[in-house]
Amino acid sequence: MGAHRNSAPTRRDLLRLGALAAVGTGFGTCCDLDRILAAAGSTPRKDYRALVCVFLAGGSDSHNLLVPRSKLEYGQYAANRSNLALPLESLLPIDPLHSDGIDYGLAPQLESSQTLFGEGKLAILRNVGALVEPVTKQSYLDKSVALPPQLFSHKDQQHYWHTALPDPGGKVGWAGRMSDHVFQGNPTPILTNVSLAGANLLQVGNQTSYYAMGAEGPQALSGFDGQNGFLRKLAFEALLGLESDSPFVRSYAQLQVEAAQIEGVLSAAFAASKPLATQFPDSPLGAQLRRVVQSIAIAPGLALERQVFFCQKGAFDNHSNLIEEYPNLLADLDACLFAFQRALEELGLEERVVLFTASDFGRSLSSNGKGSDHGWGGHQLVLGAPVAGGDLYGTMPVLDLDGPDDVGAGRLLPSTSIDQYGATLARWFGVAEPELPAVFPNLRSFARQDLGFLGV
Amino acid sequence: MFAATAALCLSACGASPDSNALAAQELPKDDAAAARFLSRATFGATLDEIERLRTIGYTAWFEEQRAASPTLIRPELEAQLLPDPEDVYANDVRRRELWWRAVLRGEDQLRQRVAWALSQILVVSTQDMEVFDVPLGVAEYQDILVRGAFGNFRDLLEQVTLSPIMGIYLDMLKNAKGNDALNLRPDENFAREVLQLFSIGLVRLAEDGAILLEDGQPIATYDQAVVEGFARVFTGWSYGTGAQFEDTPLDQFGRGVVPMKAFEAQHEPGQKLLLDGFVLPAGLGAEADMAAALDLIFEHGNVGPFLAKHLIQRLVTSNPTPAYIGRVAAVFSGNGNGQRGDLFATVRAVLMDPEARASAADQPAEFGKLREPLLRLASLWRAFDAEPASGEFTEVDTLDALAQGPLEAPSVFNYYDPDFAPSGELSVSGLAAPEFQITTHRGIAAATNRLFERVLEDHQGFPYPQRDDILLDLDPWLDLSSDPVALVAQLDVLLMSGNMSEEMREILELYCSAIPLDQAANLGVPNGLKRVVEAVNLIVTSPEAAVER
Repeated sequence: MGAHRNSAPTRRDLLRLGALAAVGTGFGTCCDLDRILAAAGSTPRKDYRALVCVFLAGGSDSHNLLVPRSKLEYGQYAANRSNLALPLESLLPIDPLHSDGIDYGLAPQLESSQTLFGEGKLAILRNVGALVEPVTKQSYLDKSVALPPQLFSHKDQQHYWHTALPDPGGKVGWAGRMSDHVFQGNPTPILTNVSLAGANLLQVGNQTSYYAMGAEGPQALSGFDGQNGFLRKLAFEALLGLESDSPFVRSYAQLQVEAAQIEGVLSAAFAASKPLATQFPDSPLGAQLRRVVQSIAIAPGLALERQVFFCQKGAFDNHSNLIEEYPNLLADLDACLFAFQRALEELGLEERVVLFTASDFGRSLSSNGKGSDHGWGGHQLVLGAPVAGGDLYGTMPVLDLDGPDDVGAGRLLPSTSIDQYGATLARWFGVAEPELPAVFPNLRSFARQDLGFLGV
Repeated sequence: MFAATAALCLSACGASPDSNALAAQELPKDDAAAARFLSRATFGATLDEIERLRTIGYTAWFEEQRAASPTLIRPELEAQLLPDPEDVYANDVRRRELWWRAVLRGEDQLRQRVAWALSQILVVSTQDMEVFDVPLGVAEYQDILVRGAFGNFRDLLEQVTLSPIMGIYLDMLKNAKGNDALNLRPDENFAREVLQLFSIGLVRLAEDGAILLEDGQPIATYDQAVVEGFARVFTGWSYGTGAQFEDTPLDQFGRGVVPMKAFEAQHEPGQKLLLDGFVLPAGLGAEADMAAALDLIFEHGNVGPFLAKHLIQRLVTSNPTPAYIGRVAAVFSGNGNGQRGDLFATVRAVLMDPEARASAADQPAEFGKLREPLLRLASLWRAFDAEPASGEFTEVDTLDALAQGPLEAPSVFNYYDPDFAPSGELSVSGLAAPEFQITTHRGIAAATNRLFERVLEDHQGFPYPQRDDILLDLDPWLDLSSDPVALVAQLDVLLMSGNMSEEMREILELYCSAIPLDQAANLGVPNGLKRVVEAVNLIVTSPEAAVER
């Protein structure tokens, strides 16, 4: 083998390399995609449904997202929020279908959300958070009920939102468990869950995982152009196909192959799809949500029936500069949600998609002088034509330091659990009633198992 | 030579000064062993360093590294800032240029590598705009880690705590005492994260890193009340050059370099509940409170195993055995020379532990780690003496393609979680693989493409050079190119510490042989260059080379 080699590769060399490449998986078709593509048309599967999670990372201070406007309640809010309180006249009034006797307003940056609320497409779920079982202030202080571990820790509370289980070592998320029940309708199970925001636990199931894509779309491997490119690709694939005793090497190789196979299919589908007219904000979340809409648009061609998308917007951990920063965060969120909804309407897909927000936790009612610290319950948004919008769900906490909902330093305990929130979404998504306990094992601790924002 | 005696002692005696010293007296048994050590202890092995290490041995190498002058970047950045101190974008580019020059060219390789590991534990990030706005401060923070890498952890903890950059990042800067009338409390951000992420963690650990249980449940190291107690300690600190608590200096030096100082009037005077029921009495003052609080943290039994596991994960393997963690933690605790917190000794213990040094063939299959994407690029550049075409490491922006950059983590939780595992067999086996958290479908394609480009196009002799290229120097390899077996074997040592499988070797040799040596038709590219380029490219983008064992 040490001989000089001055001539072009022989046919024998190429055959040997090709043979080595074929030993492994190579970049052949994944999951009979070719067959699926040939069979599928361009009409959406009759009952295609998609859930889109927008995770607000860091803990969104939703005390300044939805604010009471009635005199007594606003006064209480203002007194207890100190220098963080929004001026009354700045709030955007909303008129929910069902009133709890208090008037409410949205933060001034949420103009489009106010519009969507008025159109009946946006609902607000108040004071939802991590709960193992229902909690009162007394039972919290007595520690007489089971509590989520490490409340007020980002990592643990994000983990709880993703898993809905009080096990810090848990490795399975509730969207993953949900997908375990519905993925059979998808010819390509890996596309049941698509993440636009990298690795996450929410979308890891027992039988399903997720495909991670950047907002820019799937990336093809670029190193196979030019002279030698074909031979190089054969050799590259041959290396991917080798066996190894190392689980790290095997996992890496498998990921490389999977990424390339999926990219091949998705890029072609995206390239063939009609460009969106709706403009999205030029922000990371805007780019993610645009890609989500584009992905939903190509789902029919891939014969997909059910999908969950995961997006994330960061920088909500406003310990300081809440007054300056939170409005900017809300303005972007507002514009992104509006563009998302309008884009779906442009494509006629609005009946098939529900977007919902989540966040590590709400924040402390009280101020630390420059911002707020980690809290517990918070308000979340649910958006979509299927949503019974224009209404407020859940129960507003009493915005009073040392009041009945304050478990210490302005952390207000939630009245609705992640389980109830998720179960309401899961039912719409197509998880059958008998399957819900497997998706949300703690759901049985809560009396009301459907919050009503998606119809019955 | 010493090998037999040392081996006996290593397996039987555990971490005693004698066994560590004996081990360190050894010479690397071959080039591959030297390369393996260097790939962990530096930003990448080079043929020169391999030869050097084999000549002088580990002990002398560690001593040389300890004596080498730290390569700092803040003074240089300060000199470069003068024309436009407030052009933060340009100055952040300059900061990164200086960082790359330091980590690729600095003689103090071990110190730089440890500082990089520390930057993933004691995290600050320019992803926070307020931090980004003070590039001189960010450079100073880097220098704190570089200087502190071989010092005592207690000192490092203090310098990090008093850094105005950390003050901005985790909100200790201008954190004022509470005001009940106005419903204002002290900010808890730094208090929470210094405990959770920088020192102790959330649950009590045994010396070997095992989670201690009580009635079958982990034991929390602290609760909300303790966080509030520490938050009260961390009040009253503001800019070191300010006359008043509320002052903000106009210059980068004042905002980013001068340590914070205490303003007693804004410091919580009352008593503070801290760890394990310890109560700091009222009225001690800000500096005394700070010193006592940091002492308390430093002395906590968790710190040894916490840091040990983190450092092992950064340098050697993702899933160390409890015994390995325990041996390193014991060195941190002071069993080596009686001094708690000796980071140099701790790092040496990480690198020289028998579990680190056993050859890949003698390791269990799950030993090792996925290489950090940034280190894959850095080690490529060091291996082939990369030289920027423009003379500067201009616009090296790795964050998008490699998901990592110097002091650019997405949050204080770093790029990845120590316990992360991707779904599939790693998760099922209960193995941690943190680096997979940034190696998703997107991440793997982006990193692979970046490496393709950096090899296939960015090398001396490529017919279409760009001004901002960083060029690999492959000329020394041209002689070997006529002998594919030797070429592949040497690249295996340098790039893969000799861990290349026989099957991979066969493919590479076959592939190299298929590439003509004579490239005269190819725009005057030197003979053999294409073959070397192709070999390097295939290796650095392969699954086997992506994993360090």
